[in-house]
Amino acid sequence: MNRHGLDEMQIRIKERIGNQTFVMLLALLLLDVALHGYGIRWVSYPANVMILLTLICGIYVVRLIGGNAFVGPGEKRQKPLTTVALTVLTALVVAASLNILGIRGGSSDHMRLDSASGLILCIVPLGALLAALTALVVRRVQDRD
Amino acid sequence: MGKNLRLKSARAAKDMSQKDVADAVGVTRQTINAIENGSYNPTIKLCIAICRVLGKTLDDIFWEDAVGE
Repeated sequence: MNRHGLDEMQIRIKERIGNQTFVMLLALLLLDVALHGYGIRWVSYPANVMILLTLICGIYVVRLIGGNAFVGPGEKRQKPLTTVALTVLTALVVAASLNILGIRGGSSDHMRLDSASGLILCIVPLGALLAALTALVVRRVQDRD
Repeated sequence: MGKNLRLKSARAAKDMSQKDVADAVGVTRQTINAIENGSYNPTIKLCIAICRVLGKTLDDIFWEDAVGE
């Protein structure tokens, strides 16, 4: 059998989750367009699309981890807690820095950042943190079975 | 699809855990668990690999003689 990738059940689960997530993304984008058509703007463009994409990607990853379809059987089990923590911390620092830059407006035009960018950048590490915590919980539950 | 108790008994007869079989076959333990519980229908390739590890034939483990067996 293939020892380097996902096994056949994992591939099937991944395909199913991918299809469902894709349809969910389409539905949310259409809902966003419909809301825009009715004059409701919850976040201005392009932040709305970025937030939806980030949200759906986060859901996709969390569901893959929950369905045990993220890591194949041949890969060694690692405990990258320190790496994940450092990555999340760095991302939060970058996001906070960009937020400050956005509020103060930079010295030149190319340094001015949309305030939504900081929000998006904050969502990404929080999504990563959620995924890491979910993986931890799922692994413990599966080991208990 | 019902539970595959013959797979479970063949595995127990060889004193192997789900993890042992999974490692020998090259799949995850959850896949073997799903096959035993009847929640996943494996490909013929995986069936043959499992049979080889357990020293059984496809008939011994995966053939269903009657409906509702």
